[in-house]
Amino acid sequence: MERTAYINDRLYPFEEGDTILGFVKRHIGKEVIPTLCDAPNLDPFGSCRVCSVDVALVKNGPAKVQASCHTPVIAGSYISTDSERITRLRRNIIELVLTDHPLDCLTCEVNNNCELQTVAAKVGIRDVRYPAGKNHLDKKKDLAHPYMTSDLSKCINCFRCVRACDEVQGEFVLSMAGRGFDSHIVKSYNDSFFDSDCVSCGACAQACPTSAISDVFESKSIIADKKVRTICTYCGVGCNLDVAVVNGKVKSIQAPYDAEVNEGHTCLKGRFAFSFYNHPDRLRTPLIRKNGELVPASWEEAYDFIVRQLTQIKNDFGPDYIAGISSARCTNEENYLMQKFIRAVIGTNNIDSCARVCHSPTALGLQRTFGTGAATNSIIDLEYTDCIMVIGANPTDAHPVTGAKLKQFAIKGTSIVIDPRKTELAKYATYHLQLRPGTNVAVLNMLLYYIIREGLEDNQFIASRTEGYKEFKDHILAMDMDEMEKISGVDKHLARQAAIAYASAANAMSFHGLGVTEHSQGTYTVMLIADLAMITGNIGKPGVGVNPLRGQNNVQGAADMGCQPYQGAGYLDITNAENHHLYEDFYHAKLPLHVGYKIPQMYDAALNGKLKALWLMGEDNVQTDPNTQHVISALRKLDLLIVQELFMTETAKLAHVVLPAASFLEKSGTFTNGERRIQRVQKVVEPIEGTKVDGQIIVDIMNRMGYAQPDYDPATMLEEISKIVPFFAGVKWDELGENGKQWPVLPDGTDTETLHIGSFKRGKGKFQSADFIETKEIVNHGKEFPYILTTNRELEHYNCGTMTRRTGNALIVTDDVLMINPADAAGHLIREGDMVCVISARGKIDVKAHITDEVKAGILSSTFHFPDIKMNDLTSDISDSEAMCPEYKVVAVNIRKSKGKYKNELNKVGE
Amino acid sequence: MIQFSDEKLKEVQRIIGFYPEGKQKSAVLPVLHLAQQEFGGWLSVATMDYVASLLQIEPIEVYEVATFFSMYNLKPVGKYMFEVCQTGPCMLNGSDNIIKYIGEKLGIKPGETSADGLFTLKTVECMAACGYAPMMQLGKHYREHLTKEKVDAIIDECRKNAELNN
Amino acid sequence: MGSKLLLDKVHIENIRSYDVYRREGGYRSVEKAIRSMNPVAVMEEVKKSGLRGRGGAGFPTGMKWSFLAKPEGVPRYLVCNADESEPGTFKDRYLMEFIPHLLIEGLIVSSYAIGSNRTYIYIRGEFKWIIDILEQAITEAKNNGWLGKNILGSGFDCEIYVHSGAGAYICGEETALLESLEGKRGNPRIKPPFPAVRGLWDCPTVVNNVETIAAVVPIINDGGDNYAKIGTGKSTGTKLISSCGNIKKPGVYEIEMSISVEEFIYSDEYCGGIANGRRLKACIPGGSSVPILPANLLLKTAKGDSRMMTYESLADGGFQSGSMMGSGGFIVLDEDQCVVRHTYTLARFYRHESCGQCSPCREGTGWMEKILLNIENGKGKMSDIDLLWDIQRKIEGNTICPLGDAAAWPVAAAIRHFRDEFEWHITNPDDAQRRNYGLANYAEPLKVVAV
Repeated sequence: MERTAYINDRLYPFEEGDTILGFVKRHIGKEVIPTLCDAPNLDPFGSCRVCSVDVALVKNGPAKVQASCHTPVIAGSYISTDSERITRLRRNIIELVLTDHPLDCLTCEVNNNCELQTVAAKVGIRDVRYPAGKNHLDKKKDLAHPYMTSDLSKCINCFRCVRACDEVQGEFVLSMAGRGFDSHIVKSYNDSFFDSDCVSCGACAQACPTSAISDVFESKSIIADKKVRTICTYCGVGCNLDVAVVNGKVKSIQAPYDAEVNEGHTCLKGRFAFSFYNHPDRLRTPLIRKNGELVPASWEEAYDFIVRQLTQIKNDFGPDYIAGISSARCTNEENYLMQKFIRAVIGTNNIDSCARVCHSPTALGLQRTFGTGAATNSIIDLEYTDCIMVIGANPTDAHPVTGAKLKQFAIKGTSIVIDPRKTELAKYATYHLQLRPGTNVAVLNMLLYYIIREGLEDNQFIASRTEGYKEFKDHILAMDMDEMEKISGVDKHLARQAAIAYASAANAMSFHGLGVTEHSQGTYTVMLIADLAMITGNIGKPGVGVNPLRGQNNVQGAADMGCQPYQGAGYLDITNAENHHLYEDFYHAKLPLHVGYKIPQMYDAALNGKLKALWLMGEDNVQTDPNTQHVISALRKLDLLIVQELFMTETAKLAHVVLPAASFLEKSGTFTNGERRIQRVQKVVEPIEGTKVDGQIIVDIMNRMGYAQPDYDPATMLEEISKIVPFFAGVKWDELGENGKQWPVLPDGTDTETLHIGSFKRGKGKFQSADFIETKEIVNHGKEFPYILTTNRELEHYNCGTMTRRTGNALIVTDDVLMINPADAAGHLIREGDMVCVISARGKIDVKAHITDEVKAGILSSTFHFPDIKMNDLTSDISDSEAMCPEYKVVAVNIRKSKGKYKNELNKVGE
Repeated sequence: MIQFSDEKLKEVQRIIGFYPEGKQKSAVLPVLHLAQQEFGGWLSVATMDYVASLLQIEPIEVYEVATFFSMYNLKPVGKYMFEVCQTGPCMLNGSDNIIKYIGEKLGIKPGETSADGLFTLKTVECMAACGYAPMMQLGKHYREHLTKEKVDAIIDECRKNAELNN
Repeated sequence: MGSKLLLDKVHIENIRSYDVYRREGGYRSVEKAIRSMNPVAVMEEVKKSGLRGRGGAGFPTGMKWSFLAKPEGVPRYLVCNADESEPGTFKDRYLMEFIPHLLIEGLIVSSYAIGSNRTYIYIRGEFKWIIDILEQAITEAKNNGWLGKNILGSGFDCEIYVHSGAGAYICGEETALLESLEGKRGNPRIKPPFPAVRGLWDCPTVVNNVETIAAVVPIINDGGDNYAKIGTGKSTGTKLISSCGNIKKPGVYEIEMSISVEEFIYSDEYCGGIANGRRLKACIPGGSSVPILPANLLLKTAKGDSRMMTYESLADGGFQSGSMMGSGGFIVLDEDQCVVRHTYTLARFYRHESCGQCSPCREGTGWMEKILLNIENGKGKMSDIDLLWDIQRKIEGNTICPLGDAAAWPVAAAIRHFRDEFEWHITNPDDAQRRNYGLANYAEPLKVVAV
């Protein structure tokens, strides 16, 4: 039968699976049928019945009332959206709803912005015929949470908040308790958001059609002077944000429903943690160190000082005595400028970025195996996959929006989690391989072994698309699984089951995070993950692939733009003569042919007097790089340390010049998210007085050092970049649109969701095996320091917390904690909340204990969001053998209860 | 400390075994019945949390269910709970008078518990005993064709049992 | 005496025990089905019988089974709805309590036909002692090889589990029942998808009432054709009627669907007439949700024909002058009863049982209860009657599940046929507190006010 049906007597085509509501919305408009329980990002629910329409099977035939939101369109049917009886029905339903709703619209937060109000006006309610009756108007407001608020007297039981909590976030905090008229929203079993397990993602507030659930910023109802769409500055998910501005100030943030990346969702960092941007602590003037003190200076003074010093060092020692560290928090354009400045103006390849300390092994490992160091697929592919494998990543905390999607998948589908901790995702996983930190290689080899043993390889894919398989296979099969089991602590039978699940899924998709890269074998681990994808043919189509979860908002972009000492913009090897010419021609400058320093090498060079000047853009290396004391000594040795920052960080305190930069809300440019999506960052407000956009600062210095570079402007910069970065060829500022483009972008502007279809960048995918090698940290210190400390993140804070500690998030999570297994805690007489002294070969710190079976006995885990803990005093300067990414994830330590109480307890035991 | 005896834990395992692997959430209603019976005739938050932990589900998944079904008592109740039906067919056969009579006799209103903690009077809706009206549920069984005399006898019986068990 | 197919042996001593039940010919249908019929043949036999669902909706059982999706490698489930909660209805309880093996036997045959290896009996939680009876019967059946692995060497495996509800009428609605069986709140699901495609744990599922399943036993034993010979028209076979209210002999009766309502009420074989020498005022013939009828329309249709105890005859005249067979809960009101008060108790019941999901039902049931109580207490206004009518119209057909209809119909029918009694309550508030209205002036169906 033909797929057409009548809407108010006119014939329209419909699509398979169309609901009546969707059908009418598409053809007639969004406002034709009023709704209350329906929301763009939620499944149809059918409870409010306001969307009811008349449906007849023949013209003028007997019509049946149907809820349009969930009723499929019947071919040839006659839909009337506003017959008299339907209008009356809607009016009566709303009238019933209003009998239990306060009529205090004028003083209500959502006045003029309330869906109930709109629908009531639309159906024409003039009075309520019912006598006084039972109601819920006495429900108390909940204002205890730093962000979330509720006033359940306004609740109309549409379940949108409950569904948002379940379907979007997957947190299951909100629920309906009671039955019938007594049904009411509960937050766990509590009255307040603060006491519940709420993760403050705000999805419920955004979903609520009234002010029953809202937030302190009144995000959904604010009447803004303007709303600007931009990209979140926190993690690599790249959420689109709608930022509301009143009187030149940011007032609130909402997540746009039409954003492909986040589909109306975001986390508490993106939605609520923006108040750092005009915090009193923001740097508002350049500072120059005079007589040991940092004192305010004008921009001109600061620029003069920098230019003078850099020129002198360059003349006295040569360009290789100068280095720059770019920032994965800054835009592509700024990163491009930074490396251009270091290369073309200074004349050295001493440029690196914080990608070094997070995903450099991913880029290198994937380049070696596939030829391209980026995520092979897109997050939307979760819709097409049958099995997910998450390795060394805690996305529900670190990549919340993707984390929520992964969790939704794990709740229903097959999932494998490889992680030393029982993470949120691990709790829902079909298989959780809880390995000892640092043994990823051993576990991945187990998976590969069992896939081969069970004959589950995709031989056709291996034969046509790869090379080196024979040796690889022989090498894997020679491994001893009992030994791997012993090394990793993962039951080999469980590993076998997981291997079978991954290999036998029609499509399997892997995700990994810093638990893969921040190890001495990080690059090899990435290569083995890539091998797993190749051996099972899980590459080059939707729903598969190797997908790094990028830590920072633009870590992909920083590497793409060439902030690496051995590759220029677009990943071209700078030691290759052809590339060298290309760059020299393009930059109109003489460039060095030799590789520069990676970040850890910069510290060593500084300590050895081989590096005299360092320019840091937006990074607090003292806080975030391992072995803090080592970093501090290195920075102290420098003749010139330039720090470009928002706040007076631990690193800035050591600087000779501090330059106050602008935040993401104050500038334009592009960020590239973890799925290679180049998205537009749009200036929301003017930079606060005294600060400058990072890109402009670099341009100013370039010009002052004699290199003509036009003022910072994303459109012109992108045009320049598109001419040198091959996969940016078709990127144009004006054409990026609301949802950006995924690179490679062809010259005609077409973008790419899935990489490696048909062939790899390097031709054939290369199998390369790797044996497990125990990290030197354990080999050298394991005896003396028998515990393994690993590091993790909390949802509420971002990295070293420079931004999030200056927002309401600090009221939710107030300090770092050390996770410790109950058995270990008991062994040291440590109780919940006690201070624990953690000692490594480098130093010792005190941190509060949290006793949990999230970690196995012998394993400890801690965050490093608060500077006073100084977690990186403990970490080692061992790094990945290939990419030099530091090994944050394995530290040999010992623990004891902090002094004082400890003795008393011992005495008691003695008695 | 809320903790089932080994015997009851076995019963829990037997119930979980009714459902396919991974579907142990299905056992929430039967296990809540067991918990209510074991832990004082009502479900405290601690009891519900315990059930959640036994079934490896989130506590809220237990709360939302427990508050939906009328057989679960979310507040303490008397040792003997008279659940008297008041729906149509029972009403036609005089349930209103029976409820009134029990209330007067025990000095409590529907929903209340007697001062000695022995009796709770609860009005309930249809129990599928309409042909044997008026009726009430007392513990496991129904008491049907209630008359004032029968009510007197039942109250005496409960008092006697309570003494015996003390 | 009409033939009895379900309760013919119920009075045999110890029929509850396996040995007696088996001695009396129990489990023959399992032998017959599994040894000599394939599942499709069993389904065909049920189709031939014309058996209609005995839970209330009256949907043809064989057809319901044939809708079941059968994707490769996905289990299918049979769930027996023993959540008997409709006021006036207590027939399933009787059957399970006194002849439990009949249900187990029916379930095994039906599971075989459907291909269900795990079959659940969702029983209302208040039936605590019946749960023990059923579990005992299941254990006996299993010990005797009727359940478990490889039944009768056929390769067919089946287990039956008893799952207890916990007090929610709504769980008698099949999708709410499935939600509850999954351990969730009993909120009905939107349809489509129907349970036959996505039911229990998203697998294809059939939900059948206790009596329906029990009827499969005689159908298989004696053949669908023979079953279809009993009764009239599309009302084939026998039906359990639970009768209650103001009659001499309340209880559960198995009737052939060919007797008249009058015979059922007045003959000594069944209800034995109105109790205490009173006169018949009204009756709800099929469980509390179906329309109440005044005596004249109960005994004769509007056309003047004798009203029969069949699906068709009880529904004759539509809601204007007829009612429904429903679940067979037969509630009789004598002349001393107050229709307003009775309707109020039913409205209270539905308010208590509304799950709260759909706005019209959540809010509307409460208002109907409140307004009816006002009228009953002499505090009503004339406009309240129209408001009541308006509310029930907004609920009916406008909810996810049929509870909305179930709540609306009794109120609608009471106003339709007894409007004068409502008006009398309003115009004579003091009188209404002291006495009942008595027999209604119901010679003709009363005019229904348009809204």
